[in-house]
Amino acid sequence: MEKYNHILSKDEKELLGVLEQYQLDIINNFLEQTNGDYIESANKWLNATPSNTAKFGSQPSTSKLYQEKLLEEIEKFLCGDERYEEDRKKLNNTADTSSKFFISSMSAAIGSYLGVAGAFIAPVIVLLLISFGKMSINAWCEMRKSNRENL
Amino acid sequence: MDITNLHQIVFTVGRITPQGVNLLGTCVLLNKDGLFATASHVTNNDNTNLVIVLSPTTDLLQYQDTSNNRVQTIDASIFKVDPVRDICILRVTNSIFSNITIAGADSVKVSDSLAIVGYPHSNYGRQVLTFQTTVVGAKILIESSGIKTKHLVLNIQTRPGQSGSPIFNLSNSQLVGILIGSYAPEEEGGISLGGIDPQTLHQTTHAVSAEYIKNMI
Repeated sequence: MEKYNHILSKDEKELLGVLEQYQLDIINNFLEQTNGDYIESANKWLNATPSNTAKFGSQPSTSKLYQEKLLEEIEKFLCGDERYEEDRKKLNNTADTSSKFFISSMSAAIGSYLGVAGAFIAPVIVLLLISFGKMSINAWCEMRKSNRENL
Repeated sequence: MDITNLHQIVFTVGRITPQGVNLLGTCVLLNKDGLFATASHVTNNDNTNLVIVLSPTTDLLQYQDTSNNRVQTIDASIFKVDPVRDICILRVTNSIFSNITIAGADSVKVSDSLAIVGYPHSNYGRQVLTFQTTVVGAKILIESSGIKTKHLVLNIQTRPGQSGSPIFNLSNSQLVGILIGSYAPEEEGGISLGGIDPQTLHQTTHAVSAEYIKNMI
């Protein structure tokens, strides 16, 4: 797990820097609207839909994806849950240690489990990682565990 | 506008299921290798078993045989998503591209003539490439998560299955929009009669400006 500490040590600018420009423009707008609230901005991305428009796709909208569900999967990914063992192995065996590759790999793995495209959830994952603040993965995993036990 | 080759750039998006291919909506081949544009709600942002569906009988210059259900599919994946503008870019590994020019809502004015090319009623499995003409009824901004996006109001009734249809300027064949749906005061909590939402039975169709595609490819 310590291997991923470099991701949480990045500041906001560095982590947002992994996003495509069109994604960054939207996220920056959300952050401005919410006075820098990462969670609210993540929800804005997840719940975005053109107002007053009946959509003419063939399938009904699936249930909404909530940031709390994503957070649970991020925890499983970062804190060693066996669900993402193979994905972590692939990540560990690559020479590419860039934040962009890490976010892309994690988004694809989590998206695959949740039935959504990695390209859709990558900006949300970035926002959630920034919201953790600069702390070690171990400390964050312990905090999540402790929070659950205190519920 | 030359309609000769439209069946080679406008297709349906589908999802392979145990029962066969479910048609989800319409997509258009872009001018970049292997990339297609559609509406993001067409795919529900779900990559699972997505395909581009190729039918041998969608040539607009021929009679399209509605009894011929044989199709070929190409595996596709979601390459980029903009949920605010409701745009999705799909990617296939095949080396194919079109020569369309991507413009946007700024390039047309109210009363200009447009073409909608898509697959109405594909939600029922009907795969008939259909060419419709209309005019720009209004240029509007639609809000999504606090961001306002340029749309065109098309003065024509459209139906499920047409989401993702390209909107072309009839005078120069430039891509100016992607069909999203129709005006509805409330999407949820409405009623459905035989699978039809009465709120959508009118001539106010919404298309998002194609200019946002340029930022994604």
